[in-house]
Formats: sequence, C-alpha cells, structure tokens
Amino acid sequence: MNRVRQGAWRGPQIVAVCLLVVAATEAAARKGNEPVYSDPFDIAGGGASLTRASKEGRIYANPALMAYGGKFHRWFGLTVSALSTRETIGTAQKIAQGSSDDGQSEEQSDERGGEREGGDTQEFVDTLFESPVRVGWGAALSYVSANVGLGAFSRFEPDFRARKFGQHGLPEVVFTAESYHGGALALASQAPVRWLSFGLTFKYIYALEPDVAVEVSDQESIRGLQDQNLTPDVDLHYRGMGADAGVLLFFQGKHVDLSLAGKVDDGGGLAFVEGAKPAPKEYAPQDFRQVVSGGAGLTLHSTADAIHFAVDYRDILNAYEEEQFKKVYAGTKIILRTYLGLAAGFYHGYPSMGAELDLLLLRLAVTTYTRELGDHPGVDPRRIVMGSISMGF
Amino acid sequence: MTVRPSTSILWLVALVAACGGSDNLADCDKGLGVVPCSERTPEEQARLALDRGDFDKAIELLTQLVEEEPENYGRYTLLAAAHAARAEVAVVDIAMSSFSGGGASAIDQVTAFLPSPSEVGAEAYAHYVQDMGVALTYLKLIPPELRAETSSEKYAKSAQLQLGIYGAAYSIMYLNQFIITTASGGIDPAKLATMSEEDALTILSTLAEAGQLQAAVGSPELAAKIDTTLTSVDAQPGSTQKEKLQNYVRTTKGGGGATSTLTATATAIGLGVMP
Repeated sequence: MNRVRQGAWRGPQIVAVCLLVVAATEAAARKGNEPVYSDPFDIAGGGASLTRASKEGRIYANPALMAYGGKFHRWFGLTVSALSTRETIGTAQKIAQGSSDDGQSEEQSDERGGEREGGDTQEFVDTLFESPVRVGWGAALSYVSANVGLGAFSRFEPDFRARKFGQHGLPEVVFTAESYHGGALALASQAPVRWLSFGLTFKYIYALEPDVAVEVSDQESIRGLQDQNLTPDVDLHYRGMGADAGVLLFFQGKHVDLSLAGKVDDGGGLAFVEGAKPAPKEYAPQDFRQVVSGGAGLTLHSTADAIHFAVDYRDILNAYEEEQFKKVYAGTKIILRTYLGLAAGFYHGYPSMGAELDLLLLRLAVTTYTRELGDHPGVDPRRIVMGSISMGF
Repeated sequence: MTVRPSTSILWLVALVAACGGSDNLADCDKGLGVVPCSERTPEEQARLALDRGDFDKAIELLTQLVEEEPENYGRYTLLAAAHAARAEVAVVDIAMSSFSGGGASAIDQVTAFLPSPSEVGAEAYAHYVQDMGVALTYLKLIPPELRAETSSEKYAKSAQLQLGIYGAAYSIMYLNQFIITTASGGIDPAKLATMSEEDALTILSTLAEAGQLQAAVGSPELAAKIDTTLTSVDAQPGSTQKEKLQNYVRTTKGGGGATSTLTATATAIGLGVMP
C-alpha cells in the first residue's frame, strides 16, 4: 500500500483523504461564542476577558479595553503558544513533528491470533481509543496603544479522536480542526467621559474547520490524517471580513475598581467565501454568527498588586444555541508586584488555572484548562495544557 | 484597603479548592449542584454507556429511542453495534484486520475474534448468539433502499459493513454451538448430530449473504474465502444442507491443510481437537 507522506494540507492530498471519509456530524471543534483568538492567560482566568484582558488580547476580547491604562503605548510584541491534551503529550509531539515513523507498514499479530494491518496506524488508533489527542499552536503579533491596535494572529488546533462506537456504530477515527488566521485593526476612544470607552475591531479572517470521520479499516486515510503537517496552506482557507464592537464602563476608585462591559462579536454575522484553491466541503467553516455578550469585573488593588474578579455571559441572544455552561466564563486574576500573575476560573464549567511571569521584555505563561467539545458536560472534553512565550514591550 | 500578596494567594487557593477537582460544575452526575445542571440527551447517555462498556444500559436506552422514533434508522446501526459488543465480538480487531494472509482461512481469522463456548459457557454463549441475531435483525429492519450502496443516508455504508461483519460472525458462532463442547473446548461429533436442517440453512445462508456484502463493501479477500468455504460445503456428499455441512465438519475436523477450516479455527482460539 502506498504511503501518504507529509502535507495533508496540500490540496490533492486533502481531496484524496476526503474521498474516503464522511463528514462527522457529532460534537465538533467549531467556533462557538468565543473570540476567534484568546490570550492563554485570559483562558487561565476562566476566559472572562470582557472587562480585563491581556495586552494583545484586548484587540480580540474587547477593543474598548485598550483605552484604559497608564501610558499611550500599551504593547508591541509577539506571543507564541503551543497546546496539547494532558494525557497524550507524547503522541501530540509526534503529530506536531508531522511524522508517523519512517518505517514500512508492518503486519502485526494480534494477541487473539488474527493479523492486524499497518503497525504504525494501529498504534496511532489504539492511542486515540485511550484518549483523544489535541495539539495546536497560536501566534499573535500586535501593536496596542490607547487608541489604535493592530494585530496579526494565527491559530491552528487539530483534534483526533477514535471511538470504538462511531457515529453509526463501527469504530472510526474523527479528525477535526480549528484553523483561523488573519489580521485585525482596532480603534478605541474614551470620549466624551473618562468612565466610558468604546472600541471597534475590524477583522479579516482565513478559516478552515475540517470535520471528517475515517473508518479504522481505512489505513491509508488514517495515515493521511496522521501525517498532518502544521503549516496550513492559506490558499485553501475560506475568507471573511467582520467587525466587533465593545463598550466598557469603568469606575475607578483608590483601591477598588468596578467595570461593566458589553460586546457584539461579528456584528451582522461573518460569512466566508472560498479561498484561492478549492477545499473539500468537509473542510468548510461555518459562518460566524453575531454574538452579544456582557461582563462585569471587580478589581481590588494597591499600587503594585491587584486581584481581579470577572464574569462574562456570552451569547445573550443564543445565536449558537449552546448550553448555559458554555456561556458563563468566570475567574480571578492576581497580579503580584506587576511581574507575577496567577489566574484561576471556570472555563466551560471546568476549572482552569495558570500563571504568568512578566520579565519586562519576556513573558512566560502556562495554562491548563478543559474544553468541552460536546453539547453537554462530559460528552467530549479535552484536558489541555498550554504554554506561551511573549517577547515585546 | 490594601491588597497583600498573601491575601491574593488565599483568594486563589480558595477558588481553586472551590473548583472541586476536575469535574464540571454543570455535570448532573458529578457537579457541585450550585449551578443548574446540563442534562445529557438519551443518545449521549447511550454513547457514554457504550464507551464505558455498559452495554446493557446502552441497549436499554437505544431500544427505547428506536421504539419512540422507529423511522430514525440512524440509531439502528448503533443499537446493532451495542448488541454485537455485548456478544463480545471484537469488531475493532476485525475491522483492522488484514484478510490477505495466504495460509489461514478468513473464517479462521474472524473466528479468532469471536468468543469461545468453552470460555463463556453454553448459556452465556447462547445469549451471545442471540445478541448477534438481534443485531442482524435491527440492521435488516432498515429499508433496503436506505442501506443500499446507492443510498445517500450517512448510515448506509456502516449498515452494509456491519451486516457483512456480523453476518460472518453470527454464522460461525451459530455453527460453533454444534461442534465445540463447552467442557473441553474440543470438537464433538455427537453435538453435530443435533443440528437441524433449519440450523444449517441459517448458517449457510447468513454466511453467503455476508460474503456478498464483504465483496461489495468490505474485504474482497474475506469474501473470496467465504466463497471457497461455501463451495467446499456444497461439494460434500449429502441430500440436504444439514448433511453437507455435517460432512464438511467431519471431513475437516481431523485433517490438515487449507480445507481444515474448523480444525484451524479451533486451534487458532486455543482449543483442543477431538482425536
């Protein structure tokens, strides 16, 4: 059997794979009510970012946040992050390396006496039966000032799971991914009163949301999935333009601040059109729906330390028809001596936590959280650990 | 008011502790009960039961769903899979197996993934055979045009593949009831005499149907080997299907080589062979 090597994101190979697969219709890794890009430390704080977001995260979380801060210049720098499911970091590393061993396909004897085909794919599938694998990376290059933000972001999170009882009973491997890339221009203003700010973010987005299921007997297609390389072909991505609008009411006291926020994501909806190269229909993204959200925050602070409590309620108008546990994001961020940040919260109803070390030009963060891909708690969770490094000032 | 680091960390520790581990706040089974829980649908519960290996629960839930919405045929394939799983048929291994090996027959290879009467006992084995029969029944309840290769239904291919796999498994398990003793695991000619003509017809027709399905959507290698076996049975002396099948078993039980399917089957699953 010919092996499919590197580059599942190259057009012909994707088409070849998709000819052999069917669309998976169950819980899928598609965008819901959250922003298209989130800063890792904001996720650690439960994803509640409408009233307080990390520096570059403000462009995507709530542009009205840019207006508040001590200096005109807020941030210029690059953040790179990588994530993996906690149980399968080893497998995730192999996938991230884009390899499934260079050896030939091997016949292996099953302990019950039969012969199972394709040693490498068998091992891969057996691993997936134990636990799903999600890997991914994100990058954001940003300039943020009090009134203007410019950003380019890239986020790619492939997700593999195998089920002994697939959508229609037979064992299958399901591959989904969130592949979002693009640029953003954000504007913010604090006029006419200091306690009120407005912001707008214009986005140009490249998106793909592969969602396919392969039967476990289909060795060649599984090898194709296994050999994903993590450099998506932008030309295959669908494209769309959209805008977010945010508002922030910020009441500042000597030691206590109160903030209330509102935001409309993807106002009027964001429709995608095909990219330069045709992508299979199983890879087409769903149009982003308009999401209306509100949030509240309370900050207790001294000159050097602060503790911030926040809660967001996303998708008030229920555009994505998600359950409540996916709409409420709540958490706490603690900033100690301005260089150490700790965060904990509830993300999709599961505990999340993380830490951030700010060393002037270098920022390191680690986050752990659980994301529910199913419609209800415990249906299809991913326990994720994410690390990030930022360079900037 | 001042915020001390120790106070902040205390807040954080309290929050993490309040999280109560790794469970979801809104989980109806494990949640803290402080927020309204999010109830899973019966289908999600059935899938979770399948994943946990609680096949009785899965079958109960899916049977109820099928009764409530008998025209939702997509659930029939899942229910059939639950019955096959309860019968301990290793569908994953069968699906991932290569049937292109030259020596052993495909039936031997499939048999290696089936439960053995000597391991589970006669009563349990009879239930397993019954479960496989139920699995096939549910699949055949799907209108033929909806499970045909030309059908646009998403479950069509799965239904066809399951019919092929379960049909082969069912016929071999059915046959093993009459030839393998539960005590020693050996092949007992006396048990073979209890097979009726109806039993033989069931075994051979199901196997033939499975072979056709394997040729169409499954493994052509397995289909070819099923065809070889059926041809061998048909070539045996006898005026009825029962006699031909009994003679086939008797002919092959003590011999070697490619035609000794049942002997090889017994050997493959670690059973003794009658002298």
